[in-house]
Amino acid sequence: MEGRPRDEDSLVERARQGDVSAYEELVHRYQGIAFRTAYVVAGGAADAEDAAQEAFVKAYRALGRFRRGAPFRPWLLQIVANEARNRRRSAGRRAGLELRLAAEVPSGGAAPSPEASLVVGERREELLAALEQLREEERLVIACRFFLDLSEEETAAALGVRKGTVKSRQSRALERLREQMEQTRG
Amino acid sequence: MVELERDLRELGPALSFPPTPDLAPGVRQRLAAARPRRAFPLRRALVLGVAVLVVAAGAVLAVPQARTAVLEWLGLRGVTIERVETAPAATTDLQDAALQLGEPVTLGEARRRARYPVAIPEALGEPDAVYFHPRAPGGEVSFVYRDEEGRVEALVSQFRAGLDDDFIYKSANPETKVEPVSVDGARAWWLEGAPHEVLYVDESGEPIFEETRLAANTLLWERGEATLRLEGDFTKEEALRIAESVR
Repeated sequence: MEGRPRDEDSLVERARQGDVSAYEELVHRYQGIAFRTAYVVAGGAADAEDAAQEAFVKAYRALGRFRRGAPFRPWLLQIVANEARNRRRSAGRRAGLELRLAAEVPSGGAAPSPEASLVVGERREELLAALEQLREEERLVIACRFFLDLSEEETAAALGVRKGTVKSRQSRALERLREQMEQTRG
Repeated sequence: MVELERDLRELGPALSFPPTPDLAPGVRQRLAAARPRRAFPLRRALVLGVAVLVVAAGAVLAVPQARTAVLEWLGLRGVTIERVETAPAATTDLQDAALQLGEPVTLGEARRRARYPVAIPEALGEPDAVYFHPRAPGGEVSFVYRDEEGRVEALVSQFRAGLDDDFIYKSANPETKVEPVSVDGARAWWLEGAPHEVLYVDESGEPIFEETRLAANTLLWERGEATLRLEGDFTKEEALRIAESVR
């Protein structure tokens, strides 16, 4: 996980004193991860936007309770995830996250041969299908850890569980995915 | 497994997430609309005598059913939930002083000072001690009930929680069972099975951890303007019976 920007504490402190422009800087900095986390938890873009915006407003009002010097992102993501869960619940959505591959699959480094892309593409489809078979709570842990690249601590905050639970769910989920993939391949 | 983790990591960027909308304008607008409340939200809350209770939370939110229940709790007036990383263990046998319930008062005095009608759970009989603390909305009135050996057996606390500004954070640690119930038709919550923690917020807005509450089952319910909390080693049925005996 990348380190915390050094000016974060001072931005938070200024926002705490009522400096809205400092807070906007924090919004710009974290809206991407906030929105995607909300999307993963709520399962829909409109709800995610709504949840993330509401979370930023609530977080601002709750800054007085924010422990000075603590990292802002996990704290924010916890509020975001709460809002997102709330929306998913009121929308009566059972299955949350729907994962789809982007049309244009980005490739790292040199362009792979068409055959290689096909293999990669198939493997990804298989992996997605296997993910669909996971229990929601396991899929969420995988999404937070691998797709959003959240730390264990942040995942715990986002999902409202303890770090130990994140660890155990993650290893269970990986185990199931592995089994699933092996079955698919016969 | 390593290969699988690598594949998952590579899958992330290939997934189609909806583009992130710019949230700042909306946030700014909402904050501007609430300007008069912004400067010192907590200080203002304290002027109103608002208490902030936090009870540690955890994996209970992980179980979908419990999570739904916990979130429904948000609908309980004045009560919201905040998750806390860890819930330190609470002690069980406590003396009144350690409970930090405020100053000892007579029932009559508690009734005069509280800015809501003080409820008495008749099923518990006469309280062994009555305390008043101004930290909570409308003042917090607590009744202490002791067993023969003088240990605190039950604690009933009440305070007014009706304004939007009232923040009561209560959550449960991973072993806690949270169940929605009702008391005389009003919404109520039953927390069972593990110690809870309570936090108040001091004048500078910093939370003060209160390790001194009874670490027993808890029933939380609304009654008129007030929110009541019963803590003690009761079964759910006993707690509900006590709650319904409130006059």
